[in-house]
Amino acid sequence: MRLYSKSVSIEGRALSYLRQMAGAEGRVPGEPPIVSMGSTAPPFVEDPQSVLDHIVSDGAQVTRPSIDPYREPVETSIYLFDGDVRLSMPMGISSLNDLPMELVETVVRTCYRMGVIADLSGLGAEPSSVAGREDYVISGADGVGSTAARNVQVIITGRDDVDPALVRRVVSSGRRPVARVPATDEVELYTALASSGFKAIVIDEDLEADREVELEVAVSLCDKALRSSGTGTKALRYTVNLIATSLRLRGSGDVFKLLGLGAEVVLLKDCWRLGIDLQRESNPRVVAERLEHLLLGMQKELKLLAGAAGASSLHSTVCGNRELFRAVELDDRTLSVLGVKAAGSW
Amino acid sequence: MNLDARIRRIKAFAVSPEAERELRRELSERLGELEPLGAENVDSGTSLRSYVYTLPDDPDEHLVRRTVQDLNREFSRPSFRAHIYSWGRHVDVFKGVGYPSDVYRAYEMERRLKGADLWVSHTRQPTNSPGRLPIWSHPFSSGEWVVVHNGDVSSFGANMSFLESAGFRSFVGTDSEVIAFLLDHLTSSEGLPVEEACRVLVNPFEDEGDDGSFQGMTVRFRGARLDGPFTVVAGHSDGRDVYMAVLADRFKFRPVVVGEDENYVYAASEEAQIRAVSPNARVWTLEPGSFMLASSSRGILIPGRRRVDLFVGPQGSIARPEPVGRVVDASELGYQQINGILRECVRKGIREVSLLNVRGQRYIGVGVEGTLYVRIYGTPGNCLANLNESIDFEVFGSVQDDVGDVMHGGSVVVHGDARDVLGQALQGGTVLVRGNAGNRCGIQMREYSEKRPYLIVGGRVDDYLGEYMAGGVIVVLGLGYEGTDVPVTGRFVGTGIVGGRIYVRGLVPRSHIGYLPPRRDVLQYLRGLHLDGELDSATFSRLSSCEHLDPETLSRHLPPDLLRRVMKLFEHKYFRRLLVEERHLTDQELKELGPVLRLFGMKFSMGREIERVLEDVFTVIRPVEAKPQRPAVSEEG
Amino acid sequence: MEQFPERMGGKEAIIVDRYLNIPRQSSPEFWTVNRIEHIRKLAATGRPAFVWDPCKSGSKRILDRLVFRRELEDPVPSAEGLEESDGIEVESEIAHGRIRMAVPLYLGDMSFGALSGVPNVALARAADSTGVLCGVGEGGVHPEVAKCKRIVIQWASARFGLNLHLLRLGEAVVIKIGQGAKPGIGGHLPGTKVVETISRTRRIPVGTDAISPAPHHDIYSIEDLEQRIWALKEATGKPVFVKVAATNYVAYVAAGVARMGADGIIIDGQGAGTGAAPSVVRDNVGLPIELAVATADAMLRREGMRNGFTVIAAGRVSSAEDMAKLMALGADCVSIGTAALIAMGCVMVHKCHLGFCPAVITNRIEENPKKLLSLEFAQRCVENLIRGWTGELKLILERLGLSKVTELVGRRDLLVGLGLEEPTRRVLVVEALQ
Repeated sequence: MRLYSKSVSIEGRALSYLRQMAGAEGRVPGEPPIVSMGSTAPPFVEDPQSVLDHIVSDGAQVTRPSIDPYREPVETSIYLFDGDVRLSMPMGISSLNDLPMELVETVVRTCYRMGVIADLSGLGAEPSSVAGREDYVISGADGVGSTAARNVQVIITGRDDVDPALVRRVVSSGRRPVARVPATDEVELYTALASSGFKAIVIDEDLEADREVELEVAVSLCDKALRSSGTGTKALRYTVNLIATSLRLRGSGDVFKLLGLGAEVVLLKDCWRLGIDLQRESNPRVVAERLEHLLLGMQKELKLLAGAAGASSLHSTVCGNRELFRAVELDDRTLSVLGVKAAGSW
Repeated sequence: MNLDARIRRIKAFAVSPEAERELRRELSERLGELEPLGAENVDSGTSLRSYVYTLPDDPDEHLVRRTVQDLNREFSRPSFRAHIYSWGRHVDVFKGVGYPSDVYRAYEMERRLKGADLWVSHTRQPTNSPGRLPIWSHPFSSGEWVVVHNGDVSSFGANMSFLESAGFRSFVGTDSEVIAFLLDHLTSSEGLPVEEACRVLVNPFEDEGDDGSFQGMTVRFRGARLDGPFTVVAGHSDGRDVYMAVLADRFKFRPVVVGEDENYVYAASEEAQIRAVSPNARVWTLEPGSFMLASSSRGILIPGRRRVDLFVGPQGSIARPEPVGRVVDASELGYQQINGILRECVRKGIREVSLLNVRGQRYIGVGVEGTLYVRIYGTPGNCLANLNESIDFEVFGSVQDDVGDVMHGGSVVVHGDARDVLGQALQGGTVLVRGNAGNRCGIQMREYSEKRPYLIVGGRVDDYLGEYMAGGVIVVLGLGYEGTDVPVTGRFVGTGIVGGRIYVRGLVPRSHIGYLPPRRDVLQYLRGLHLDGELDSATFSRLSSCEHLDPETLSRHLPPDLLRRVMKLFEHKYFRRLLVEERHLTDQELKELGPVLRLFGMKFSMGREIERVLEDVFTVIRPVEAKPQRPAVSEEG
Repeated sequence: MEQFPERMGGKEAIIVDRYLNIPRQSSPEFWTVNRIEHIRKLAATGRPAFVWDPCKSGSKRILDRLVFRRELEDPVPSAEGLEESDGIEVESEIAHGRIRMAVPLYLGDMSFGALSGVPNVALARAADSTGVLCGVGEGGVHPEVAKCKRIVIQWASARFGLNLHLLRLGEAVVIKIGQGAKPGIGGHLPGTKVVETISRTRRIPVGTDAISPAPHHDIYSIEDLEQRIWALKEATGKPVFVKVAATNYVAYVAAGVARMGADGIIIDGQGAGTGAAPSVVRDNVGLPIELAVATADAMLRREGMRNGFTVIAAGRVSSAEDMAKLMALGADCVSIGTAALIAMGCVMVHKCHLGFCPAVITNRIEENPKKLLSLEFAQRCVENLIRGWTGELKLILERLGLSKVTELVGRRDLLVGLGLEEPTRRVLVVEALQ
């Protein structure tokens, strides 16, 4: 079912861009990298590595103006859980499970300051810094009871795993159940999760499932499925948040396209670790500084992409707005599951 | 719109008599007995005919809505056969392809003019739809709403998805139709009052006001929020009253003016259009991200400005001195003829021209070189005095958009208001406006060599005053706003400014100067520092109660290391700190600005008042002098 | 060595009049060493090198996976020994017949600021001597460029240096709305780069940042664009073009631009060159030119707006065969930028934004530069490129059985797609190779 392999290594230009933004390379941390002369981007020069590489974003012109995000507002805030939690930008930091606790604490604190989610998935012990920052953390432990985080993760790999009693227990403890599921084309799973009371669905491409599809396809299918359950503002789509994550995501271009397909938050895994060069840098102060710069740089890139498309709000204008995107060199079947038009079609 | 109309009417286009019969059969099967009133238009410029039916039994409104959606879907595939475009009781829609006069004739409108409470009409250039068939023509209607729209919303795809969730399944594919559906859905199915529905659609910025409840609503209704450029004029009836709503997008990318006289409320893209109907109406423009709401029984309910009484320029009192020099009646002339006359005057050495009855002609003076004093009586159209080098214009009335773009010399004196993008890239000469001015005044102004431009606005301005300014002087006097709580500038004053000076009489709220990161982002960071144990409670609570979290406020409260960290949220490679001072004009400034402000006082007969104005406190905004830096990255080409 | 009347450099400047070695390309590149060498060959000889462009082999670009059916029947490896085609007419008229072109080539819109002066002059003079057009880009006009005839003056969002005199200098005016490398993004020349010469052409003080806003703040809609088109026509009496990036709605934009009274549209595709752009925008925004031209041409025809209106295709136009294929897809003329820079010595190191161009083409403008591109060399190379390119175009036309270049416009039937996805071919209206 997949067009491309799951394993993608982040290297070359993509890696350099991340490092420049984080300040691990170059001299302008926190800024979108500037380049010159023609693009070498996939799919027309470099080999495409994912379906996302076939999706292009719009540039507003003539019929609507683009927006300059350096001098004019482009809102990147995302409201989760019926508006209870405000993120400054549609991102979160994941893949913390093998870090020393000292660095996990640093990341949780930095995420809070930057108004993004820290995903503790896979982490055995919960860091003490969750206290006071409960809204901005997704618990590592599976299930209720063992966490201070208000967003309690439940890993679900098939419809049989959906346990309404567990959901009720989480809700009655004043916390929010968050389902973490593999990227699957089993849309009934998504609607079952949403209607059983989960407040958010995290689609994690790195979880194994029987009916695996690409993350971008799963996000799009989930978005569409939630739209068709319930009516208007009561549709599940407007009450349940959709979060996407995968090891292979390379930067804000990927994040922006996933938003367009319906995700509201994208959790960064390998790319943030490579960007701040965690292999060589473990000083918490430097890690915090680089993570802040990386997030600010990526936020600016998201604003550039949104502004270029004439969108001044990510949450209301970009999320699920496939009309802002076109696909190049994809087959009809993939176009139809994504719900994205072919480039050049009317 | 007609409040007294009580019978539901269904109007549809069909490609053939067979298609019409089929549609009629389906309608009566699903909605009950149907009374056909026959074909309506003689010729709407296409092969389609429009048909009208009434529904004597008047079924449930939601059933009609659903049926219309279902039938429109069924009759659009596999190929297009018919389309229902209106089905309300109080709404009557006439659509066609061609010039407005063609449509007017096709529907024999002259016999329909009486008896309506509200008329909405629009002629459009198709932007993202083919526009060959009248199904794509404005207005668009759903239920008791009718909508015309100028713009191209970027949220279109998100809005479509929301409507699909809400059960809408047939779209002709334009954003204008989507706006009609959204208003209908929000008021009829989600139960929002008209003003709340309008507020959702105009989509105020997150930082605007601290109304938490409305914030929650915009999150819940995010699929109905509109982004990108739009001016919407909508008509609605709830059966008790008829409403007119006029919506402006958050950046005010499209022109809109509203007007009022003893009998009517008006809305139009250009002031000249309102003046053609009502020469003495009060006319004003909407603030960005706002809406005007009026009802036929209660008049204007929400003016679309904070203080409309103050914002209306001094049109009523505009002096109209006797025409001087060569006198030309411009009422029947096009812009090329007008400019031809101006060139001829220059050639013949005539120094003064008076153009009477100017009604919206664009490009006046564009490409005319030489010395000439042009008096304009009426409302000149957009692009007055673009590229002007030496002509002097004096307008006894208001001007519209794009006045003085790339002006190098000469002058423009306006006794009324100016609208948006006044003096863009103004680089020489003087522009004086007695009344108010709109969005993006004096953007990209600059100076070079001996040339320094001056732009003086007597009243108030909207957002983005002096954006990207690189030179020259802007003065906003706020005349008439003294002692009120209305700031005389909108937001984002001087954002992106790299040179020049902005003087605003009185005080400007710090949150209106430059472009700051969202207050909530800054607070979040500060709260994080507080939780981290780096920022003490007292300072944190002091800062969180500060109205404006601008760099100056932060630097007063934070120690250097924390300030450096928080400033990451503000700074970027183009970030320039602005120097903001609240003070009297210096002697040097009085020497420079005195003459041009006294000219302003003289032109507008202010007498001694201008001297008192010169003695007032001004907010002076300019970029901090650029430090010599290392060669930076070029971002051009 | 021809003397540069406007002092552009110290007397002691080293004059560069030869090519650098092409560095090894360690990562994938559209402008492969083969493509660069092909252009250098044309620039050196002024003679055709190939009939069918062999550089397309292995490329993933859609245009490279379209071939003329004729090539499959008659694959001529090289132009060597072939007679220059006689009796093939490559002249055309554009802008409703108001501008005559010796060959429908447009040297694309590179500003004085993005390029360092000598290349700007070389391009403009080459346009004059060969009878093509040269768009001068934003930012005022270099005084030597201003003396040339076949230039197109740009009206861009910042209006740098513009006045009535300048606007009336060229053959036409182009309203620059967008560019393919960064649709929707503005420009920024830091104050440190605004030296005396730049200050004079842009009419801003030395040391002031030069910002080009992302949109034109007087053009937020198609009606606004109409207003600016007619204002410029009123001011200049010249034909007006509109330059846009290839984006989602490019077909509707093209039809709108035509309906609003413009004389032509320059569509700049994804992957086009730039002096500086945010990587995230350059790599994720916009459509390839081949799709954009095909869809725009089809929409213009459907709307009855095609006659007399000129479609200029830009972005990665690397050879006469590219030109011929874009014309077959519906372009009347093509724009070349990067190819012309390569002719002048560009070795594609992607360092323009840093100001240290090894080929002294996009280097920082200084009052007393240490190195200077030879104007004579640069101009000759561009002229030769145009001649050699024209020669190749004639050879292609001859093999296609066409006697006039204008007959090629819209001849999609001459093309066939190699392994293209069905939706792509539907937009191109090109059959798959059976």
